[in-house]
Amino acid sequence: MKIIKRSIDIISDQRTGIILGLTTAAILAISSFLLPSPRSPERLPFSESIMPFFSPMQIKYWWLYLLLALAFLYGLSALIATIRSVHTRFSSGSVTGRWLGITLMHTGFLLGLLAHLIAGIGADAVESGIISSRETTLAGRRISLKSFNPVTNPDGSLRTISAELEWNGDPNDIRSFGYNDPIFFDRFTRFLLLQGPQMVRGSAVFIVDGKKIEVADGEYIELPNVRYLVRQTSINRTLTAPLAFLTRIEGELQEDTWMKAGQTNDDGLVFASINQEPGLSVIVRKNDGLPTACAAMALFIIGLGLFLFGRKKIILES
Amino acid sequence: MFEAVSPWLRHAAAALILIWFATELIGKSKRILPATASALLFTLLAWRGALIEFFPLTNKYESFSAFTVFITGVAAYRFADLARPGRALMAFVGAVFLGATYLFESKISYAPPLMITIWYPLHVPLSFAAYAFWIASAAGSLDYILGAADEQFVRRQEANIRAGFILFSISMLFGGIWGVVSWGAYFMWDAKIIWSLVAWIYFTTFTHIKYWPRFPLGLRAAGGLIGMLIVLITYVGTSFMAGSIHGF
Repeated sequence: MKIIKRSIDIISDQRTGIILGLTTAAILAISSFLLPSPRSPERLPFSESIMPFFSPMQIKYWWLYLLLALAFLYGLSALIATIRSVHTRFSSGSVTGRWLGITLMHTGFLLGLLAHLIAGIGADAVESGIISSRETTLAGRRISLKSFNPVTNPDGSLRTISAELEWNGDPNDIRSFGYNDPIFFDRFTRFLLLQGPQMVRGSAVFIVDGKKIEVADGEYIELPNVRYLVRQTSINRTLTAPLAFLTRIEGELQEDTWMKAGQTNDDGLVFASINQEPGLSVIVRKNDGLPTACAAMALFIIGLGLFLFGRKKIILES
Repeated sequence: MFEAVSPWLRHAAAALILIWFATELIGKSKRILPATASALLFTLLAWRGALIEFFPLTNKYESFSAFTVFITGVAAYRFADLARPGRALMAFVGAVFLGATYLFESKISYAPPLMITIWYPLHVPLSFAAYAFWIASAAGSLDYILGAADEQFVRRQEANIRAGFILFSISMLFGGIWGVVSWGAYFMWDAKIIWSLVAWIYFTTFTHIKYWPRFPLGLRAAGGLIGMLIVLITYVGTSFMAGSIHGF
């Protein structure tokens, strides 16, 4: 019992916290020189995750393993010291706004460590895709682009993009989206992030009897006595023109064929062009620690405010 | 008019900083020197910001100029608290950073999309202000080591460390928000971000030194100077590290 109490005294001592803090800072500093270049094949993923360091564990990541141990002790020191401080103050019967502020800041710090641990285990990009006017499914949501508004600078460079998305197939649920304007969902643990604009292949345009029709891949074009299945259309950047791959169906006979844009075939079918429309390249990221991080931030800010401006003594009822 | 007038704002600020440094060496300096230099550079940056209709921190020229605004501004604010060696140090730092801007392209450039958010202008100036207070702390440390500091050294150092800690903490929170909404993460294994954490942990720990009974004053002074090294590595040094996407 005495040993436990002595250990608690040591771990919660201010000097221990100072030593742990400086050592943690030193290990972090050393780690910065050991990180692989973000341009090398061994680069670390673009997230808070620490799982790459355990897949598998390697001796070259010694600094991270040591850092985790230090962070644990650092957190433990702060936690015990905070609990003791709260116990002492409340036993005394009065607290000051300033003390409350310091306590909230420490609590926010501890929550921040917890948030970092949660994020470290699972934060990552989980899905990517392109959003266009055609509905697509991402992260289990049916999403389509309703409006697309790029804003440019006077020199023509892109300043920002603001867009609106129909969320989950609900025409009444239109959400704003753009650079620095992600959409959070699943109780703030998932978010849709804009990577950049992209031209998206739309429907193919054919001319039948002088009339333009728009056809998507997998749809049929009906002509007298013959029909065509549009298997795939392609904006082929290595060749000079878009291509359409078709199956000609006449009775029981089927024949695969292809057409270049601008070409008229023997049935009088004209393949005119492929529509392009603006789309958005997006990524879905997950971070289960985000709600905890937000709580940590709120506590820290409130605590900071009380520390700076809280002078009042609060008498606690016995 | 901008192309004609703006270079002279920088030249004038540079001249004032050099005069400030020289007058510190001979003991004739005045607060008006760093204060005016700060105001001139602020005017220059504000003008650039008006032209691009956004916060003017889009390139190295503007970044180093803004940093000099804060160095000279904090030096003017803390002028009476520092002695000649410390003020000379701040003048030297200001001169180096403003001098470096002469190596960079000064053309007006527009901010890329990921910077067009309120979180960016909330994050960066606060971090620069924090750096400036921490460098003021190092300046006080230099005064102590050279025997120029008075009995208020500890109180003043704590005040500068604390001011920097408060500003940097808020800056880090805003920076974390910016990280999430712009590229999806508030932390990643990148040298710049790691050193920001090093700086925060180091100076947070420093605020607790006063609870260490009889902490040697010499160590406290050394700690202030180490803090300045950390600031310089965090701000500039990380750009030269392999493990950083913030490379020059």
